[in-house]
Amino acid sequence: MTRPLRRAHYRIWLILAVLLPAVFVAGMLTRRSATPANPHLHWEHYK
Amino acid sequence: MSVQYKAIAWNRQKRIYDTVVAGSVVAYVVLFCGFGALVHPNATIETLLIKAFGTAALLLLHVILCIGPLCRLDRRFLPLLYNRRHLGVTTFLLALAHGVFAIVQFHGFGDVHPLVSVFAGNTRFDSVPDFPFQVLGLFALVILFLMASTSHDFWLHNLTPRLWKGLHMSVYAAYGLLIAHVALGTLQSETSPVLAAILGAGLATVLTLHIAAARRERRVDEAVSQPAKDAFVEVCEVNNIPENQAVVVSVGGERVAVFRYAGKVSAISNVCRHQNGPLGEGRVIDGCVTCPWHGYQYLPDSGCSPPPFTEKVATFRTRVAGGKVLLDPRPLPAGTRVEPASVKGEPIEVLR
Repeated sequence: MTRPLRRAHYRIWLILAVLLPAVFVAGMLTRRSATPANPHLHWEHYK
Repeated sequence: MSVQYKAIAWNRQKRIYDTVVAGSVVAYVVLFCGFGALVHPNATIETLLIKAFGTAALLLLHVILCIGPLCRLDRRFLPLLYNRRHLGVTTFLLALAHGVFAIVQFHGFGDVHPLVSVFAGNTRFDSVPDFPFQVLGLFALVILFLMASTSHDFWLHNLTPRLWKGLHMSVYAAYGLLIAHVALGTLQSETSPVLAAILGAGLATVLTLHIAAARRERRVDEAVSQPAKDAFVEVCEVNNIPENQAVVVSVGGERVAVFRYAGKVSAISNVCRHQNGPLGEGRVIDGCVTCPWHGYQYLPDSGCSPPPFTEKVATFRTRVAGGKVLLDPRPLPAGTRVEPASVKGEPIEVLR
């Protein structure tokens, strides 16, 4: 790789190293509380 | 390299590589659906396939993104790089299957066009837990399509390596979109922590490898060579260069591969004309410097590919004195022949 390309890679990954964990953590923190499954309802059968 | 044009230059390694990839993908999908049907007996085959294709594509994308930095950190991973584009096309096909099944299942039975439904069905862009994550996946799929459809060398030559590389670096954007697609999508309703833990571990691995490889590259770039009396700079010791291999040095802001072969030393640009591969990590095979990525070859004294090929890289003047290699950091025009420096009479140690 040429030096400008190496620099671009380095900068991109520095940004991603901040951005992606932030998105991941935000997604985890705001998880919806799952509705308890109804054992008597098998909705797939109605498709 | 091939004299005759062939759409795909199949060879034994390529066949083994593709067979292993195809076999692994089929085995993964079958095992995922089989195991999924046992754990969730009420799940439909469409739902299992959507999850199998989606997770396979994401897993493969992680593998692809790890190959580059792994090769920079340890050259034993280089064989994986050789056909990395085949992995990219496979990832796109898996993502396409995931997207098509998901759009048909979740958007195909309404009274609007399925693609319109993807964009208009949920517009809560201001909510994290209810974010319309399908849109993120669709944009990532478009990027993967552009990359897969331009992955052939035909496009590399016609778009120019610079533009092609820029286009294919958009895989990082696709990766970001897919992490958001999963974190804001399926993980929102997934009660088991296993998938979140796997995604977190994959993300941490990819980020750590890329940052580690980039920092290592920066150290090479920042290494300063000792100036000699004239324009030449001292770059390394002859004994540090293994026979038929190179030491990569950074001079004048760019990297130079200093090769030792048959009692001689020559220096050429470290950047292959094909895909910017690191020539200095290749070997001299049959008298030619051979790029470790895809086998492009150059004569070490002139930087020219052997006839009938026309690729050329810049060369550098070299000298050997007192067991040290001296190099003129000013690159000569690509393809300029330079008399190799002789290492005869020097205290030589053969490294292999």
